[in-house]
Amino acid sequence: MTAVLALPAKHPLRVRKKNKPDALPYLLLLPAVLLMAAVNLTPILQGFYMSLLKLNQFTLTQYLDAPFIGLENYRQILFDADNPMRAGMGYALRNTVLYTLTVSVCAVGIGLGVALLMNRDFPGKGIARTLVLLPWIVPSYVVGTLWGFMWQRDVGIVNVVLVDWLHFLDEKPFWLLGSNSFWAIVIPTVWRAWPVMMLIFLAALQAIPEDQYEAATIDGVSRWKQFLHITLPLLKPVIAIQFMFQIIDNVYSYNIVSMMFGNGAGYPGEWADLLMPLLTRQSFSYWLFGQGAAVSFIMMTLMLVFVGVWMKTFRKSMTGHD
Amino acid sequence: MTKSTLRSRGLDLLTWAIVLVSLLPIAWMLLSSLRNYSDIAAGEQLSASVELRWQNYRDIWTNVDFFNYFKNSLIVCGLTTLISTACAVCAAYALARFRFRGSNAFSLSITVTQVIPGMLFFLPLYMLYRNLGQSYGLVMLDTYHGLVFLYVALFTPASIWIMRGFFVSIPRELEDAAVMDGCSRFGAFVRIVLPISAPGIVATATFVFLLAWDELFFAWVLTSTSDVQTIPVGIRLFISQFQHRYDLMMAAGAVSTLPVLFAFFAGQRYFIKGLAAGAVKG
Amino acid sequence: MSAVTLRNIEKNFGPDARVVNGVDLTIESGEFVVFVGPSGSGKSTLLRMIAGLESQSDGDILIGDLLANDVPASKRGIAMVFQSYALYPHMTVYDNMAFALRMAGTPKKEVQQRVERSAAILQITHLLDRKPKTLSGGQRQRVAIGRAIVREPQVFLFDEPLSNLDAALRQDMRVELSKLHQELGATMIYVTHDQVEAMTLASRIVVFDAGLVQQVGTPVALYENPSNLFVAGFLGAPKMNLLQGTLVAASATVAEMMLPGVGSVRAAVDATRSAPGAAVTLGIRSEHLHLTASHDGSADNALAARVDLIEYLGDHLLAYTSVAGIKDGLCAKLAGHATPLRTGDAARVHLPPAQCLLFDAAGAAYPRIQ
Repeated sequence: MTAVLALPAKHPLRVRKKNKPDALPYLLLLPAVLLMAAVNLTPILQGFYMSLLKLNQFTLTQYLDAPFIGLENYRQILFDADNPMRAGMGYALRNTVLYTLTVSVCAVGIGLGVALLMNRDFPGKGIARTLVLLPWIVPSYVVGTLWGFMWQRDVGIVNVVLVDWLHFLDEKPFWLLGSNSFWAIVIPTVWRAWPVMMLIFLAALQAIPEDQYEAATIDGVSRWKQFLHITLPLLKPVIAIQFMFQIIDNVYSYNIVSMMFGNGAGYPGEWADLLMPLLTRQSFSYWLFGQGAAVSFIMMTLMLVFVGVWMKTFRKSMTGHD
Repeated sequence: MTKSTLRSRGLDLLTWAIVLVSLLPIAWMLLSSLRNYSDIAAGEQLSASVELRWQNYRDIWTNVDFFNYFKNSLIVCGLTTLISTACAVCAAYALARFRFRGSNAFSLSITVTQVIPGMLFFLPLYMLYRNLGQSYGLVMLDTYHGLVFLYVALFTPASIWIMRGFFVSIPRELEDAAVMDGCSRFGAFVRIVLPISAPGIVATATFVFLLAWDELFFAWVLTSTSDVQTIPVGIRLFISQFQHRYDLMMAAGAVSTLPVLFAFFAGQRYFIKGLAAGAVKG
Repeated sequence: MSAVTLRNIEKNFGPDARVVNGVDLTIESGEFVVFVGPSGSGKSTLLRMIAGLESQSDGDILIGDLLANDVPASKRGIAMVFQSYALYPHMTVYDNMAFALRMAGTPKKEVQQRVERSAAILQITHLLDRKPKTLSGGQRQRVAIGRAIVREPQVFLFDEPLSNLDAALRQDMRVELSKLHQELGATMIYVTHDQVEAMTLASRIVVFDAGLVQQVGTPVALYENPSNLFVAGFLGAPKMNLLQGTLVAASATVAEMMLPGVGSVRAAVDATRSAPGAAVTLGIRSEHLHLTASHDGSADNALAARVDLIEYLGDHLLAYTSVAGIKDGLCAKLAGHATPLRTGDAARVHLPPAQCLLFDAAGAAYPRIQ
């Protein structure tokens, strides 16, 4: 039946060896990889090396040829009580931890709550969803100046509303000083962050098929229990990812604090100083670039560990790498 | 009214109340931008004599070098958006469609770049730019291209993340059909996948623009003259100078928000859909 | 039109994942061949290799006289209809159909002629300006086929094209595909997991399981003379009744097997290649079983049974019975729409030896005596 021999092909062949790896993906990836290598990789390696050098205003011009002092920077930061870099570090660390946790939990929580609200049919649904994103569109430095203005003791609208109009308080408190300043930075950050959370959670909520709820309702499960046992488990991966992103974003928060208390408007104070503003300020004021790099490197390591642990914990629910 | 309708209406009201309260600070910013600063200083926020000082908006262009800052922001952020989106689209497609050695490593490194603090590499980057200028004559400091180059590198990873979600949702069979119809794999990418994923690309571009517009730290470090400085740097300089001119500050804030507002509303339809899709798929 | 020859085709996705296992096959020009088998049996992968979308780990593919191993997909003279139709959503139907021709540089006039001709064959001329998302499933199906026809290929490949359609539409499309084949006289290779489609459409069927060809032949041949248990069980609905037992005696014309605890049954097969005591499986199709009341008819080659359930299907009935001592019941197809038997009745199941098939311990069939 088959008398066909393997004749040489009549048509010209485009030779494509069977197992040659396709070059196309590498080509596509090339620009991105080059950029990231140039801007992320090399400077980071240099940054790490910097943390091992004595880099101050005297040695700055030598840059990478500055004296090598090994882990001395790290030792000074971690253990030397007189180190100027350490001044305020304790507060900044505490604030950053509290700030990050508070903001992340609030943003995710409020975002989730409002998403549940928005998951219904109500008049003006489309417009509402768009409008609610506006706080996020406002640039973070504008948010810093805006709320810096709003928190002003005498002319700020917050105090005007609280004291003059609603009479919640008798006296106008200082928001930008003392322990209140913590809330002065938390609230704008949450204000700006929850809309995006809300949007993402809303999309996830809408992806849950109706019939799961219908089956539960027929079985007589209360709405609250439905939320606990159907909604939450299905949302767990999304919540986990977004929470992680929030933590990363907020740990490195800089713009709002910088603009609210800014160069001219004063020092953030004991309760509003965060790690990045502190580092920037101290590095530039005291020219302790080597130590600044050391602290940054420690932070990066901590965050990497955090991300690693977090992703491992939630890996089976989070979509992984392709 | 039945109990459930009452409940329903109540929730509707609550939802809208939340939306409106959330918008109050923005409304306040706009209102204050039109006030007379002596009124503000005196504490009369909403006095009956609402004198709208449109003058403020003119003042920011004259008192402060706002025109330059605005122009610089537009140029830098616009270029960043174009280049970054292009790079991200290509890289995301490679990650979404091909299994190749190093794809996992690359995905991982994208996540890692998000974790790195700017503080860690701003000085090396500054030094690098300075050396390039002094030793090789390739001036990077205080230039558009210096800033754009950095921004593109900073924001491409996030864009890749989002675009990849889009590409994964396009059925592979479409590209198979295109290959059978005579396209090369790259041809299938350009002629078939790109047009279909236009919404995703718009969403990603909008996102990058927003991120770039928001960037303060590196703009501060890498620029020194108003020829190149962007809006956030301008406002920051301005605050030190005009501490109590809240009216001008609010006007500057409002104007700074406008371009991103436009970008958002232009791409809004795609953006909301895209953000959700990209995020849910991880 | 071309023939397609496959020689020793293998495909591995990694060291332990051998998806296609040494396939040798020749498809004649103008044939309608159906690759049928369960999911994961390798049939789709084989189709994709013929198309050029995947490359084989070993073996040769010839299309006509052309050794197609290294020839890119678009130059093999092949057109493919995908399971989900794969219509380009951003193009109109016309553009979808014209795309391949335009990519090949065909002059505009000719493109128009060919598209309109194909559209006429499939009666979709009125849809040419529409976009895919405005079309129904059946319409998209036609456009997908039209897109293939336009290219005037040597071979048509179909990858489960009907599985996304509802039952009624599926039957209509099946008929249309058959008619299309008659009209075009094209070589068609069709992949499906639905044995009804295979039986009705194919001039020859290739049954796949676990990457290997189980049997090749016409529908009649496979139905009446399945070469192994897999093919026997796969084709035909309701499934063939299977009984397990041991071989008692075998001659050139008849074999006798013992059903433990029940009795012995004879089958008209040549089982001499196996020794008595070997494990064997008896197979008989439901339409060949006779069902009578419990004391009617001869007791020879018959089993005592009880009627469990009777299903009424309009023109025939299915009677499910259980036989004491046998785990699986027997299903008998009864013609007509009435039977004196009722659920719970004791009955007698007759197994005509000429209709009994026998399979050895490995599942291979013993030759039937016709």
